[in-house]
Amino acid sequence: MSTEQVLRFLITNHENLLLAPLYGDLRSIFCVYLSCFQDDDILAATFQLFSKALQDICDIADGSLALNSQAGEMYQNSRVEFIDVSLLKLMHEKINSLGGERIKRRDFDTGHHLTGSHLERMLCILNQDANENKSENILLRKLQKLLSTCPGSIQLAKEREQHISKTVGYIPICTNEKHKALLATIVPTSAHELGSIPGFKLSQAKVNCPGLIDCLQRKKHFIPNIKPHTDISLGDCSYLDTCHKLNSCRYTHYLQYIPENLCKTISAETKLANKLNENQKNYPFYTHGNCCSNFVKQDLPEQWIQCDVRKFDFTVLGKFSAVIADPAWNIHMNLPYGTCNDNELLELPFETLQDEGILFLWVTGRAIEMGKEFLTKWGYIVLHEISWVKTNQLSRTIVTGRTGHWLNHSKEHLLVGLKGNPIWLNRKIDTDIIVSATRETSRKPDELYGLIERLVGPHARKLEFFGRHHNLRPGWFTIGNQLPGVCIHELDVKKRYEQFLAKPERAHKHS
Amino acid sequence: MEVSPQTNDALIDSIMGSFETLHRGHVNAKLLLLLIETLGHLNAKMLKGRFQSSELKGFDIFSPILKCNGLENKDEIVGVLVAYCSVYAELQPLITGSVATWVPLLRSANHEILYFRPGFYTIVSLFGKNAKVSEIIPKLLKFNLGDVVRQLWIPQWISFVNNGKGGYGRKLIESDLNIALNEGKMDFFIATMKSTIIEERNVTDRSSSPPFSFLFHKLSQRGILFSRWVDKGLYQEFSTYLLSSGSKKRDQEMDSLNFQLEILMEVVDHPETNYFEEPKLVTFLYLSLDKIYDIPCNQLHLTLGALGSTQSLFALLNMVQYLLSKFLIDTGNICELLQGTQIEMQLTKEKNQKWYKSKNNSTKLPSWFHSSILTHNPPITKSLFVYDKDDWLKIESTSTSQIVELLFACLINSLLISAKLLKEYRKIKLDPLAFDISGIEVNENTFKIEYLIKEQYMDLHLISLFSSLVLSEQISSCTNQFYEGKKNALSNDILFSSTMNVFKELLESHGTIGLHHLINFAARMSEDDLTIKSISLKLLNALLFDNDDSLARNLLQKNAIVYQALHRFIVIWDDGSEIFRPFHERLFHTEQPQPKATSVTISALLELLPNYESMLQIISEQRVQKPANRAQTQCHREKGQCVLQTSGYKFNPYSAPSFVPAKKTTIEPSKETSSLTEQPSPQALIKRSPEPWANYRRDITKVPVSSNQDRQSMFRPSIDYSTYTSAGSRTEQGQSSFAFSNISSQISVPKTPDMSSSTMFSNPWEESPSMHSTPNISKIVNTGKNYILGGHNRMKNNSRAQSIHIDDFEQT
Ligand SMILES: [Zn+2]
Ligand SMILES: [Zn+2]
Repeated sequence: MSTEQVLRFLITNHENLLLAPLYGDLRSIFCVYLSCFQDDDILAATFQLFSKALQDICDIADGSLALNSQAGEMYQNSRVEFIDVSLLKLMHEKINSLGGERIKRRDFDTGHHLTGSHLERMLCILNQDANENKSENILLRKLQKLLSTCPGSIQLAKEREQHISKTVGYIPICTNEKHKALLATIVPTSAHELGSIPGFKLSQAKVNCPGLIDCLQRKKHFIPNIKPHTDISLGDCSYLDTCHKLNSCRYTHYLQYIPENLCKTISAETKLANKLNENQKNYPFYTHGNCCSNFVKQDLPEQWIQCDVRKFDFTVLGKFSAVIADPAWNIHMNLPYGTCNDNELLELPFETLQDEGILFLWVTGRAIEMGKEFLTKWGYIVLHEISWVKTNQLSRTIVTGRTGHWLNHSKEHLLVGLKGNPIWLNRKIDTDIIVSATRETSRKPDELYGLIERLVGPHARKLEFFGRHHNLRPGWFTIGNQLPGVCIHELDVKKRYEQFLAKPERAHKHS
Repeated sequence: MEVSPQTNDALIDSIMGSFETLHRGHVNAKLLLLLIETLGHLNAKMLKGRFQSSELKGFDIFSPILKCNGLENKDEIVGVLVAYCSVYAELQPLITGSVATWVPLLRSANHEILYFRPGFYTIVSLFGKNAKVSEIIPKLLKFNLGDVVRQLWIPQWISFVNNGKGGYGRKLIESDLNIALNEGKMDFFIATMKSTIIEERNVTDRSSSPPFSFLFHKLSQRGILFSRWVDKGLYQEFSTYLLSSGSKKRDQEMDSLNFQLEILMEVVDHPETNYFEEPKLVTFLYLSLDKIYDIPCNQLHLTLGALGSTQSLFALLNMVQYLLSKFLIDTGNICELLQGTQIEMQLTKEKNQKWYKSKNNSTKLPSWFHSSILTHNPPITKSLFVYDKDDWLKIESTSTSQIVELLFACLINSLLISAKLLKEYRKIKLDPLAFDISGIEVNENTFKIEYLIKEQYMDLHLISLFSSLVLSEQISSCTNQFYEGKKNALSNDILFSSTMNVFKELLESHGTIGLHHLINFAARMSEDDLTIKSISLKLLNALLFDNDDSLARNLLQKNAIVYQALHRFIVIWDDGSEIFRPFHERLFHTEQPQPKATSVTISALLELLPNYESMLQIISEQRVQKPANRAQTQCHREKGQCVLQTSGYKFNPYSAPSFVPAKKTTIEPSKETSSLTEQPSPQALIKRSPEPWANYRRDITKVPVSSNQDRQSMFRPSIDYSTYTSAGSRTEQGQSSFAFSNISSQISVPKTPDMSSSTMFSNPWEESPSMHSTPNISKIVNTGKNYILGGHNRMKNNSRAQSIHIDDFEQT
C-alpha cells in the first residue's frame, strides 16, 4: 500500500466517504479501500498502515483531512470529519511532477498557518487576495456561496400559493372621463341607487361613444350622484361611500354602475378558477408547514367567545400559530365600559397563547413605540411594521386632513412580532404593505387574513383579539367584548371554557 | 381480511375434524397447538351459521385432554380452548354439553386469591394476529390460567347451565353489580347474554336507568374492542351507543378506510395530545388500526393517495408508534414520580434521599427523536369529524388505566401492521428503498440524495422501534401501578416480540443496508444514552443468536463493513459481562477478554467533560456574581416586576446590528484564586482549581455530595452558565451596538429618491382628488394584488376590488 494509492482513493471517493452509510468512519473506509484495490498487495495492507498513510497525508498537506483523533493516535472509532479534495489533488499533482521522489512538507506549502489569536486569523483571511487559491479562500467562497443561495423553499412556497390560493372576483374600474360624463346623463338615479339604462338612451349612446357598450361589459363605472344639495365646485367628498351625512353633504359622491351580467360572468370565471385550484390541492409535492391531513381536513367554521379579556383565562384557548390584536389604544381617552387601558393590556397573559409563532399588533400614532415595547415584554421580537395605505371608493389614497399634526395620516401601522423559531412559517410570500379601502370606523382590511393564512398555512390555529362580529372568519378564533355570545366547535376548548365558567370565584364575579 | 368461501370451508372442516379426533380421545400436543392456531384465524362472521348446535351436542373434547398424561402446559391449553369455545356462540355447546362431565377432572383449586381475572376476550385476543401459538402458550403461565378456569370461568358456566340462559342473565343484572368491575364476568356476559342485553336495551325505562345503564355502558366499552369475536348484532349495539354521531351518513363514513386513515393523520397532526383527555380518539385509533391490519397494502396506498396525505404510509405508522411509545413512557414517568411523592410523604426525613434516587430514574427518549421523526407544524385545528358530538361526557368515564391499555394495544397493532406491510412488499417485490434513476440526469448529488433518502427511511423505522424498546425496558424495570400485574408483563412480552418482529422484517427486506444502519444507529445512540446501550445489546443479541440460522448473522459474515462496525461497538462497550460473551464466542471466534480495572481520580474524569475549563471559570465567578445573577433571573421569571425594571431597554429592530463581535469577558477572580495568583488567567484557574474541584484531588474516596446545595452547584453549572452569559452579553451588546450605529449612520446617508414627485401621493392641497386625475383608460387598474401577493393569482384578485396597485400612483 502506497500513500499515493491511498491519496488516489481519497480523491476518487471523497464525496461518499463522509456520507451515510460510512459517515467518515475510518474502519469502514478501510474496508471500502480493501475492496477497491483487491488485486494489489492486499496482503500487506493493514489498518495500521492505512492510518499511517492518512497521517502522512495529514502531515504533508496540512488541513486536507480533518480527523476526530489526535495526531498519532488512531482509535478504533476514529472518523474523518472533513476532506478538502482540492488540497489532495494539489498534493497528488505534486507527487506526479516530482516523479516519485519523496516529498516533504516543505515541498508542499499550503500557505499560511492558522495560528495566533482569533483576531489575527480573521485579519489574515481578510488581507488575502481573494483570487488566491488558498484553501481558506476556497472554503470561504464556498461558504459565501452557500449563505447567499436562496433556498428553493422560497420559490416553492410561492408556487404552491399560486396554485392553491382561492380566487376572488375582481372588476376593473373604468377611467374614461367621457364614459363617466355620458353615463351621468343617461343612467337614472333614485335616492342612492342606480336604475337600468333605458334602451333608447343606450342606442343613442352607442352612436355618440362607440367604445362605451364594450367597456360597460368589462369594467365598473363610477357615476356622480348629484343631489340638489351637491355643490360640484367643492369637489369630491373625502369620505365618499363611508360618508355619514350622505343626505346633507355638499361634496360630490359616487355610485357604482356594474351591469348584472358582468357580475355573473366574473363569478362564473372565479368559480372555474377555484375549481381548478381545488383539483391541484391533492398533489402535495411541497409540504412545508402543512399538517399531514392538509388536503382532506375540513376548514373549521368561525369560532368566538364574548368576554371581558381582563377577566378571561387565556389557557382556555390553547395555542395559536398567529394572533392579531387590535386594541383600543387609549392614552388620554375616556374608555367605554369593558375596554382595557394600556396598563391592563400589558398585563394580559399573552405569553400563554403561543409557544412559537407570530403576533400582529395594530398600533396608531404614539402607540407605535408602546406597541414595540409591549411586544418585547410579551416575549416577541419586532420583525416588521406593515403599513396599511388607506384608499377610498375610487382607489385613491385618503387625505382627510383630520389626523396628523405635521403631515396628514394616510396609513396605519401593524407591528409584526415573532416568538421562538417557527420554522413552519412560509416566508417571503407577501410584502409589508397593504393597499386597501377603508370601511367602517376602525375596521381593518381583510387582506391581512389572507397574508397570515399564507404565512402559517391553511389549518393552523389563528386567534383575533379584540375582534368584532365582522372579524369572524372560518378557521379563526375571535375574542372580544362586543361579540354576539359564544360559539365554540373545538371540543377541548369548549370543555375548558365550561370548566372556566363553572369556577366558583368566577361565577361570583359575574353575578 | 376477506376469506374465500373455499378457505372458509376448509378452515371449518379442519376445526371440526380436530374436535372429532379429540372427542375420540386421540390427544397430542401438536394437534392441540394446530387447533388453537386455526381457531385464531376464525372470526364471528366466518362461523355464523356453520355449526348446528345439535352437531356438537354429544361432543366432549375436554375430558380426553384432561385425562391425557404428560401433556405440557395442560392448564393453559384447556384455558385457551375454553376461551375460544366461549367467545363463539356456535362453539358454546362444546362446553355446556359436557361441562358436568369434565369438571371433576380439573385439578382441585388452590383457593389462591385471583389478583387478576382475565376474560375470554383477553385470552383470545393474544392469539389473533401474531399467531405464534407455541410461543405464547408457555407465557400464559404467568396468568395462572388453570386457577382462572377453575375459580372464575367454570363456575359461571355451571351456573349458566343450571339456571338456564335468561334466568342467569337477569339474576346477574339485578344482583351482581360487580360484573362491571370484573373482566372475567363481563366477558362471560358479552359472550353469552346477547339476547338478554338486546332485550333489556329495548325496554326503554330500564335501559336508561341504573343499574342496567351503567352495566351496558361498561359492556360497550369492553365489547367494542373485540369486533372479531363479538356477535355482529351485539357489536352494532355497542358501537352505536358509544361512537355514533347521530347521523346515518356519518356512521357509514366511520366504516370506511378513509376514516381509519384520517384518524391516524389526526393523531400525527396533534403530537401534543393528552390521550387521557381524548378517550374517543383513542377508541377510534384502536378500531382503525384493528381494521387497517386486515387491508392489503395496495388498497391502503390507493386510499392514502386519494386523501392527499403529506406523509407516506410507513411514516404515518411509525409516527403513531413513536407518539404512543412516548406518551406511555411519560405516563410511566409520572406514575413513578407520584409514587415517589407518596413514598416521600410516608418516609422520615433521613430516608428522603431514596426518593431523590428514584426520581432521577425517569426514562427518557433522546430529544432529537421528536424533531427528526415528526414534521414541524404550527398548532393545527382539531378535526371535527372525530369530536363531532358533545358526547365526551359519555365516553369520559373511560378510566385512565383503560386508556393506557388501549394505547398499548394500539402500539402493538401498529407494530404488527408495519411487520405485515414489509412482508407484503417483499411478496410483491416492492423495495421501498429502490431508487429509480432512469430518466434523471445523474450527477454527484444524485447519490447524495439516494443516501439521504435511505438514511431517512431507516431512521424513521429505527426511531419508532427503539422508542418501543425503551418503553418495553421501562415497563420491565419499573414498578408503577400502570404496568404492574401479570397481564402487563405478558403484554410487555408481546410488545417486545412484536418490535423484534419488525426488526427482523426490516433485515429481511433491506439486508445489509438495514443491518448497517441498525448497528450505526445503536452505536450513535449508545454514546448519548446508556439505557439505549443496554437495549441495543439486548436487541442485537436477540437478532443474532436467538436461533441457529439467524439472517442477521449471515449478513454480518458476508459484509466486512458491517462486521467491523459491530465489532467496534462490542469492543467499546464490553465490560466483561455475560451479555457480550456470545458476540465474542459465536461471532468473532475469540474468547471474551477480561476487563481491565483501572483507577482514575474523579478530577481526571471531570477534565474529560466538555467545557470543563469554562465550567471551572463559571463556578469561580459564581461566587462573586451569584447575588446579581439571582436578581436577573428573577426579573426574567416574574413578568410584572420585570416591566418596571427593564422599561428603559427598548429593542429597536432597525438599529440593532445583526452581528456584534463578542468581547472577551473579563473574569473576576474569586478571593481564593486572587490570593494564589496575581494575574488570574483561565489557565491559572484550571491548574489551581479552587473548590469544589480541589477537594477531589486530595481525597478521591470522599463522597462528593455532602449536601444538597453543593450538589446543585456542581451539577448544574450549565444552567448558571447560560444566565451568566446572557446577563453579561446584554451590557456588552448595549455598548457595542451604540458604537456600531454610529458608524453605520456615517456610511449610509439616506438618499432621497428621485421620484420624490408629488404625483406619488395625492396633492395635499387638493383635498378631494377628482376623477380628472384618474389614470388613463388604456391601463387596466390592477388592484395591488400583484404587489400584495407577490405576483401570483394574476387572473383574478384575492382582495376586495377597492385596493389598488401602489405603482399606479406613481404613474398617474
Ligand atoms: Zn368605461
Ligand atoms: Zn360626504
